[in-house]
Amino acid sequence: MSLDAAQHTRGESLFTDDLPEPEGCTFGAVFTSTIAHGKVLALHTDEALAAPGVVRILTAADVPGENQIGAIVPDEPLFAETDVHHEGQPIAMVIATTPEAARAARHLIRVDFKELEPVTCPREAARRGHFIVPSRTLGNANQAKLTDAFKKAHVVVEGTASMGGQEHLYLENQASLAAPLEGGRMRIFAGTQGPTAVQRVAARVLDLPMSAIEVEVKRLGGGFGGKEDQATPWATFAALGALVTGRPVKVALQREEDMISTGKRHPYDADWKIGLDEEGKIVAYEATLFQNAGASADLSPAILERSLFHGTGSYFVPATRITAHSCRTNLVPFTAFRGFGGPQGMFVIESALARAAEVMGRNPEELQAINLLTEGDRFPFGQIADGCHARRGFQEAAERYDLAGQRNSVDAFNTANVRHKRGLGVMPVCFGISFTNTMMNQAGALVHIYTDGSVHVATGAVEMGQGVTAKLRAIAHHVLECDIERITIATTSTTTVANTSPTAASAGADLNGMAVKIACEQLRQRLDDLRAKLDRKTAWPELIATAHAERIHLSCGAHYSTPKLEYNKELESGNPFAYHVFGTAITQATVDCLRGTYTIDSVHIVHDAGRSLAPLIDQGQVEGALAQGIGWLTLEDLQFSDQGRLLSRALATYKAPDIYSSPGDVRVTFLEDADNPTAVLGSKGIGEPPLMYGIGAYFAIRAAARQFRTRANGGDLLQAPLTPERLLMYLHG
Amino acid sequence: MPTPPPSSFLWNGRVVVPDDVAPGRLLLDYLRRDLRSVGTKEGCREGDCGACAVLLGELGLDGAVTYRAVPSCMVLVGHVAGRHVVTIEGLNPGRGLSPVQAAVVEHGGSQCGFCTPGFIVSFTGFLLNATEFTTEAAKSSIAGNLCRCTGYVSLVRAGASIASHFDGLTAPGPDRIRALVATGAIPACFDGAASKLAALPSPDRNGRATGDGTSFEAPLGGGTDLIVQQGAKLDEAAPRILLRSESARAPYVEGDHLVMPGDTTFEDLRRCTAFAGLWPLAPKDLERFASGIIRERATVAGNITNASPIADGTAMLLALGAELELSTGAGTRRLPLSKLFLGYKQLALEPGEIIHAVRTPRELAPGRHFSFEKVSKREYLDIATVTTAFSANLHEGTFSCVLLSAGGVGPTPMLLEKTASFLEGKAVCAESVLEAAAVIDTEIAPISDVRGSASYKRLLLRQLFFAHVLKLFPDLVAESELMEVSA
Repeated sequence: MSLDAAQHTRGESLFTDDLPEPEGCTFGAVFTSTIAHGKVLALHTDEALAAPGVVRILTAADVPGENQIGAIVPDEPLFAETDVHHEGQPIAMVIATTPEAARAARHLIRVDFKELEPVTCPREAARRGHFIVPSRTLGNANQAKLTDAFKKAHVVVEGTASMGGQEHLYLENQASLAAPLEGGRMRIFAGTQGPTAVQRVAARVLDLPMSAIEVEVKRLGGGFGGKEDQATPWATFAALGALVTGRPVKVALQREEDMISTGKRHPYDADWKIGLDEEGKIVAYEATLFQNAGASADLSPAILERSLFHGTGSYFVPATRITAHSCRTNLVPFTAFRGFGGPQGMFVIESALARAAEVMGRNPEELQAINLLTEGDRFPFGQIADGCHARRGFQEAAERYDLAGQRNSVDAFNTANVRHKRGLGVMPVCFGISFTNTMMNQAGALVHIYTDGSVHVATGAVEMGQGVTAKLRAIAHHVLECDIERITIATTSTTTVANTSPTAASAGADLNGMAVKIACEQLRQRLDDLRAKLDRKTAWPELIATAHAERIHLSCGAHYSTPKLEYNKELESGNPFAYHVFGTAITQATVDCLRGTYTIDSVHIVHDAGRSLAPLIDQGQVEGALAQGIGWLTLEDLQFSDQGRLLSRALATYKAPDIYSSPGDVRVTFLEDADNPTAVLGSKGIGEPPLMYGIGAYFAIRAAARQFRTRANGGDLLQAPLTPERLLMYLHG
Repeated sequence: MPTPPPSSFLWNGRVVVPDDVAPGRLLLDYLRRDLRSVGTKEGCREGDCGACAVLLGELGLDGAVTYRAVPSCMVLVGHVAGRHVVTIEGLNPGRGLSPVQAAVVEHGGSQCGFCTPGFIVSFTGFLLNATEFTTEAAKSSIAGNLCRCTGYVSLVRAGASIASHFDGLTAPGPDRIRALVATGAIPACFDGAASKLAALPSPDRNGRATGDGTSFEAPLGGGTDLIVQQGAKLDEAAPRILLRSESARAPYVEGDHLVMPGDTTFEDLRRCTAFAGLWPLAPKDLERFASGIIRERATVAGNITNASPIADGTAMLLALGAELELSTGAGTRRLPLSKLFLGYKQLALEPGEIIHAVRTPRELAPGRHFSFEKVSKREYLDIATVTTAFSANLHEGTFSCVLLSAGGVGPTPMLLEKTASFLEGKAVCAESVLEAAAVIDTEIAPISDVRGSASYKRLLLRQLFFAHVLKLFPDLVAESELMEVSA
């Protein structure tokens, strides 16, 4: 369980907005664009400045350094100046003595805009050539070989698929508090997954050396990728305000502000074409992905890359080419969200397989099963599937949960019922672990043993509910073998472990845990050497006291970098991943064909967690990710108007899963004897892969709907989210 | 000892006097910013997530305190005068964990921890109020709380273990509170709350409303809509608050009628045996209205006067043939609910007039049937895309006295009168139902918005009309006859 679970239940865990406010604390309210695209002709702040409680109003003119926060591509100003490219883009910030005064004054700011036509559709952006970065094509076949493979196919099916975006809906909104320190230094308490990113960007904007900025993160009330890059502007606003006014500044968003201004999961559109032989083996697959990147790059290029890497899902495809476009539109910059482009890539090939099964008159799970990766298969990007549990996971799920029996009972139900139809969706997952940007696969740790025997472990990992602190403690305990209660995990700070990667990519425990292990092993070695000299059994406190007396260094810093990673983007070839995570989910759904509503009846999962460091935590990660994946493809309906205005801008209009929309019967078992030699203590990353089990729910609902009606001209029902509206229009429209 | 000011309330174990803030300030802001009680979290400020849930205790006429879990972002400081506000800090045992807290920890029900205090509050509300200790009942108690980390599976496990652990508790009331205090499930401050509350002035215990409304024109009941729409304006205002204590606002039977005072909440209705017995599915159907913690605050009159075209309560009441008692203080008059709505958010109310009470029949006449249908994006805790209710007498195989309400298909909640007259005397069969569907189509004018396209709403109302009929008259209309109808 989460290390702090007990104090969470007592309401004693402090999140950024809960921290005691320093003397003289002020509050920032960020004024943002109300239009999606236009020129800023004039900005009127006088009236707001005169409002009660207002301390200062900041604009681009107040930035001492660079007015630039783009991490991969420098294309995103902190404050918009001459033009705005999406609704919710920051233009100014009011600083006032209370948050209420800051928000009230913000209402008094006016802008004269010259509105320009916005582009919201990624295909339209692609037609106009509006790309964030050059498009990429990945595959194991050139066009000629692919064309040839399609020619030889027994069946060729093509179509389109589309997926909506997804609001992270971390329960804790974005929040940061910056306080000036003596000597021109700055401390930022930031609600971020990437403290180093905040430090780097704040240094750039404030024109300070990184060493003058300390970023601290105790915990996040949920992150899910939404605080990887998207926490940075709010922390930077707070720091800039603190620099300019000399007073502490807190910037804590309310839900609607957060929903309007922060990036979400990318909507994608796709074209696909699949060729299969008589047996149902995939012989050729081609896809074009249109990523709706929003107005600036944010992490879109990296997310695009992962869509390519996961474009063939859990399957071996002998001839494939996948092209991906990162399309610039006038929507909020879309960003990291659990799965990081992988889910979109997988949804497309699952769509293709589902259609192919229909055309061939086969059950989709049969086609899935015969196409699964086997040990030694090559991914389209050249990496060899090593430690591949794709088939094992699928078979174990099929046996444990009686897939054949479920198929029979679903078919029998559908024969017996007119109004209700049931569908089965099987989803095998294969997800690569590592940052695809090889450079980011490194981490540091700093471990102190104090003279009373208590142990303090610091890393760059940020706790956001995923349980990384509990895992780090388990690792330190495994190596040091002192009482586990003696070990505490430090608040994450750029002053203890520097130059860290964000806690992301399911790699938080892998990378930081390995650094902790190395540091603890070095300490253990020093203590073992001492033990050997002592010639008697010594309890831990005494051992430590003796070590100190013997002038043995009781602190140790360590660094880990994942070995054997390399990737050549020119050739689109290499080993981007340390390993893959596998698993299979079997989902049943029932559709009420009268009302166009559905329930997810059951989801049964076999998951490959390696040798789990913390089974209850990993189970929670699987269950939680599953719910998010189902939500993304079913009820979470992120809507923008044609003018680029966010329509689903509050929890009244954006519906995330509640207790009743979650599946009634969720079972999770872990693959046994699945030790992973390539990660810490045989474990595997767990955060993201189970999200993609949710794709099975989509196809279960879809299968049920198609039992009621297979529409010749109603489309293929490959548009997510599958809301009650989409479903009813399909059934009866 | 001098009498505390009328705004005073009991917060956990101590009396708080919020005289330095306006009664319109959100309780959530008052707790977090003014009292620095930060265990109560802000998630959405619109009652949709439950992270800010607190227990609100009220001294009843019988001298017992009743606690309800409510979202503190949907409660004003003026609402809690004379009441007991219990925040998460007030639920903590001196050391260690309460059984509720321990169950959530043990089953892995807390990941990031941000929503956790709200869940603990709601589960504790379950212990205080549950009449049955089942997993389903425990689930229902946390249905107004969102968690983005767990997918709820572990929280359901925790709820099941809490329910089975406490099964067999005495009925809700002072004895149960004592029993819960004795087992450490709730702290001792609950035991003495009744006497502490009795010592506070209670501005509304005798039916008097707080606030004069000079700084905020609209009177409010629970405020579940006004607070969302105008929270910033309320922050410095003293609104006229109409919501009284549970005992003062309870629905009652008067002759052949059930009378709901305007400030009756939807959870009051669910607890009211007369209303819950009006039609067989009433308790289930009422659960489709918001979440439990919102139903504790949303009032019947508020749901009506807010005039939202998609108000579920209004749809139900229209098909029950409800009548309004309107009052200005100077006088009262009666108006059929169906005559209230003049246009989008326009009501046939005189200046200063409020809905004093809503009257429905105390029971459906023999042979009369009632059905409520609603489809929203999310089945529970969501605003309807289309909401509709239907009632009719079945007389020798024919429809009579039909009332068909529909919301979400026009500028106001409405009774579809042409359809009703068309059905009058028609045989209950697929043919007349299909013909009636065509009449429905002529009576409605849905628009496209975030909840759905106009064509979807049109189709959906037809399907829900079919659902009414199939639910009420399964022996007269076969499912298959209404399943393969093209749009």
